[in-house]
Amino acid sequence: MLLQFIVDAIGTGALYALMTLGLALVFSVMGLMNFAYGQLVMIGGFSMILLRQQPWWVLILGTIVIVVIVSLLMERLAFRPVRMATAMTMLITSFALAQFLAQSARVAFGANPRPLEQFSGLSRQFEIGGLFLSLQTILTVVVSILVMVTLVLVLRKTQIGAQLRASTEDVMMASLVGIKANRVIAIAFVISGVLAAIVAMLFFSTRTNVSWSSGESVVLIAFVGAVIGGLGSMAGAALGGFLLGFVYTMLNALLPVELRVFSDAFLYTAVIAVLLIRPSGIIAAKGVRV
Amino acid sequence: MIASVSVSRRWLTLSLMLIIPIIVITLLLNATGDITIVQRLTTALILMVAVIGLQVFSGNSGVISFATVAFVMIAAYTSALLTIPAEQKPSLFPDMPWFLEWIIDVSLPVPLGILVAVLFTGLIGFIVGIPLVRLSGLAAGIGTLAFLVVTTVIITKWKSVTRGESTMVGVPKETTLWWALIAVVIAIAVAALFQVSRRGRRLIASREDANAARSIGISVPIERLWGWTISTTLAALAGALYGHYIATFSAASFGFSLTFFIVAMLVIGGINSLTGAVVGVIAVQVLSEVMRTIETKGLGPIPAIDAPGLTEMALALILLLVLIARPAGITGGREITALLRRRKSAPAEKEPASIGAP
Repeated sequence: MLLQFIVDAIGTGALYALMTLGLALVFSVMGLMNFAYGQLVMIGGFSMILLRQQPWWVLILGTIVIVVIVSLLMERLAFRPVRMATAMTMLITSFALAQFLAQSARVAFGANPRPLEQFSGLSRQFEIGGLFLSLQTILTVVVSILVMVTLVLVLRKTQIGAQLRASTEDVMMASLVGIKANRVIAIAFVISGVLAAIVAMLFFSTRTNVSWSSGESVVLIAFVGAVIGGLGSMAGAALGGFLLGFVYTMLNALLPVELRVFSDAFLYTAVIAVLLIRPSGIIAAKGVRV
Repeated sequence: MIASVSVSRRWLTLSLMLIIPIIVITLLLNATGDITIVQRLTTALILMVAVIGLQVFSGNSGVISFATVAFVMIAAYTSALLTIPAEQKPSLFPDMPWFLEWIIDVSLPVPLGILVAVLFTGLIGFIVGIPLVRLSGLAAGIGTLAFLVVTTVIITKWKSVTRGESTMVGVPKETTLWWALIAVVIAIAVAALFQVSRRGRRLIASREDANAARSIGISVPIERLWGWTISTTLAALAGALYGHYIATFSAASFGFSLTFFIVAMLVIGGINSLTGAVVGVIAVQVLSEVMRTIETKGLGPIPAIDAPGLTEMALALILLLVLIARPAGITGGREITALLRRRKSAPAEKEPASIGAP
């Protein structure tokens, strides 16, 4: 029984780690906590509905392309003009952008959730030695590992990765040595968009519908994960997201029912505590201050 | 707190220059006798109290807070619990926990209920403020947002006291246009007084340059805590009035969309001035009316577009444009007194580059 919970918790943890990574990447490059990141996942969900009649590879590529385009537009039209402004202005800008995208989706697709047929076969369960494993859980874990390995390779082995890493260390210094800030930030938004699209496909394939308000819960998860992991550290973010998903699933499975409903309240109180006691996260990043 | 005659004169001028136009507008709109207009006006005035509350903290300290609506909710629920007629309570709250059982027999008159709710919420504001005001910049945004989530979860899940996701019913509906107007007058007077007071000036100094402020002996957390407590008390006043205005409500009646409206109004008007708070509420309210007309009836050549969310979408877009083109808001963060003086003598002042600290 406990082992079953652990397996489920690993599945959720892997998904949350991916969610957190997309948010943390943009944060570490330009110090922007992007509220609108959750809306990218929501838009990914609607792309899946639009493309559901297409072959699976068109659905996957199409969703990624649509989300990346929105992500790039976001950077170019909304965030670039306020890049030099205060943290408060940037935060409110991303807040406004999130609201704009959610409400646009509400106008375009209606206020009621749109049904999304479960992807046939993904919910199929295997029994291995008394443990139930769904294809969904296996897929989530495998995809998360693949994505993280790819991300590490891109960051470590390519030139653009080196530029990204330099910019996360010190964006001023990086631009002084000739790294083009605009380009690096745009690339961070592209990667963040790809991650959001992958999250959308993994996330919505377990649900039965997509709604204009779906993005809110995703961005809150990513926020908490990033804060716990230490803002600005990619490894910390992945670990923070994973821990969050893991602990959250275990809490919901093990807490007594009367307290279970308050698990979110405990979680967010912990966030405030982390911000106050260890502002650089539980897994602290070097040289990054909030 | 008021040090000299000139300070008290500045306080009077600023408050009166904001209060008088609001009273005139209210009287004019009330004279139309249109029930819908009076309803919208009452809501707008109640919202204005909350926006002014947010301005007292965020405007003077340069630190954003997304927690305003948390205090609006706490006060609305507290006042409701204290004023719902005692004979209705046993059926509404059958499982009230033992330490709150005394509430079942309590049935205060509404003004007293509001007063107690405001004081109680202000106290909660003060207590949670002690840690929260230590956060700045991004951390303040996340921390206050987390507090909003915690409050919402508790209100939605603590069924025995808040009725959970079911609505609060039996709340006396007593808030009138005049109550709302009086609350706005109080809010403006308090906010203006804080701004011209010594504590207010210290807080503004810390917004402009926290290190310089510290170097002359200003304790930033203490000054912020003052602003924060006044701010949460005003939010509580708005919340208690709102509860007795809509009379049936649940946590879903507030939530993130109300947070967005309040922040949008303040930023569009200009976060750094009290005038900005007032102007922002009026501007957003006029815009919402126009959008609502388009949604239901169409406006001039524009046909009716029946699309829920259109108003919020337009508002979000305008907020984005303001942030990009004029981050200091319509007023540029200046008070009405300065704006009028500028019109007379027109010295070319430099536009502040962005909200908050430079």
